[in-house]
Amino acid sequence: MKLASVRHEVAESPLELLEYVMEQGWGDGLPVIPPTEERVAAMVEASGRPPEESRGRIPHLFGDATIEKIAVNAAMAGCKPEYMPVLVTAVDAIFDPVYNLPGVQGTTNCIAQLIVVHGPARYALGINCKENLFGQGWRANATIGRAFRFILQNIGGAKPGDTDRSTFGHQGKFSSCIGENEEASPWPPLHVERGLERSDSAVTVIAIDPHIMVNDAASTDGEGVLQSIASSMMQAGSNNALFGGEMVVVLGPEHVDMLVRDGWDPPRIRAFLYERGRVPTFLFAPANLERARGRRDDLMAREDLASVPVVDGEEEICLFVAGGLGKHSLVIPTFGNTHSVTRRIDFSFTG
Amino acid sequence: MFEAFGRKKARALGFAGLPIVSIPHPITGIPLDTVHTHADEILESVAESLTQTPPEDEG
Repeated sequence: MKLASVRHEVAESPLELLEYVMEQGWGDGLPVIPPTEERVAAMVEASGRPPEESRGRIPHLFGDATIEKIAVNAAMAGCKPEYMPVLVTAVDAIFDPVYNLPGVQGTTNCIAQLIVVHGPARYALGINCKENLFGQGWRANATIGRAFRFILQNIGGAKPGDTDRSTFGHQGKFSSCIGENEEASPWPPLHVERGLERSDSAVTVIAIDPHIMVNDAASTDGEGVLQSIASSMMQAGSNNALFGGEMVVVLGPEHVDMLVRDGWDPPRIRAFLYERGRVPTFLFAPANLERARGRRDDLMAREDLASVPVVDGEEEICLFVAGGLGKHSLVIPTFGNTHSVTRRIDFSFTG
Repeated sequence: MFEAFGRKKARALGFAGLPIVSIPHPITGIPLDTVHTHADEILESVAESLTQTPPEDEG
């Protein structure tokens, strides 16, 4: 296999390698795996595509996301070769204009790119969709999310403190990849809601703000749980309150059990959250309310302005099930000026 | 705040010599008259940038 990337001679010491990678601006501060020719070739081969094939040019600096360059970053992050189709699909997804990648890449906001994997690939690749799925402990979750950040940084040119201007950053910028816990509910998983088959594997990418955990171990019915979630969505300073856009709600399995028992389903849940997840206008700073009014003029025209819904419609609530046991769910605001994108993973090239 | 970023982006798009006029950060959360002052301060530079022939791009 002919690879085009420049070869770098680096000492075998892991610490010297780390120093070199950081000096070049390629790292995230943690040790990396040397992306040797052999490792990169294995990644390319597992993608089923030629190394020179371009998937597009990634803003800000419009580096060419070839299969080879994706493979180099995947190898450096510690990915197994079989993770490549997930990464290639995630790269394809962020080019959808609704994702607003140019805005997401350089903003002062605290944005991470969350990859959610759906379907059989979760098990084939060992992607955790249960306990501690956002945390440490699973190689697929950790390294796919890490590789995706490397791709945005090293191919797209979003260098922290330079062209990535985030005020605080985001813990999820080290890595943010989970699976949907499809087996924990009787409802269609997100990729099926979005028109794919249950037997398909798919990736959803979402430009997320930091998570808000919802702790409701006291409610004994589904409506109580939903009220706790709705109240956690109500932040006058969030991007969603100011700009609309999509908000993510991740339902924990124990909350799902209560909702299913009480006859709730995703359309009713979204409708409830849309109606209850409204920020009273008196909670806004006056100038910030005017800012929201300017950016969400259609919405404001039809509201009495006693309260502001944090999304522009119930369809803007991106709802799915994930996580392990415990009476918890998550609310994850987004960049606001963005929408998540779901794409089927095409494994047909990989044989 | 975004000047170096802008220069790198211009270079990446093949316009290394793109004239860039900048104002001090921040532009948000400041009184309107300060915004007007900043605008007045750069008006001439913007006009020059729009009318001058930029140096040949380095590619």
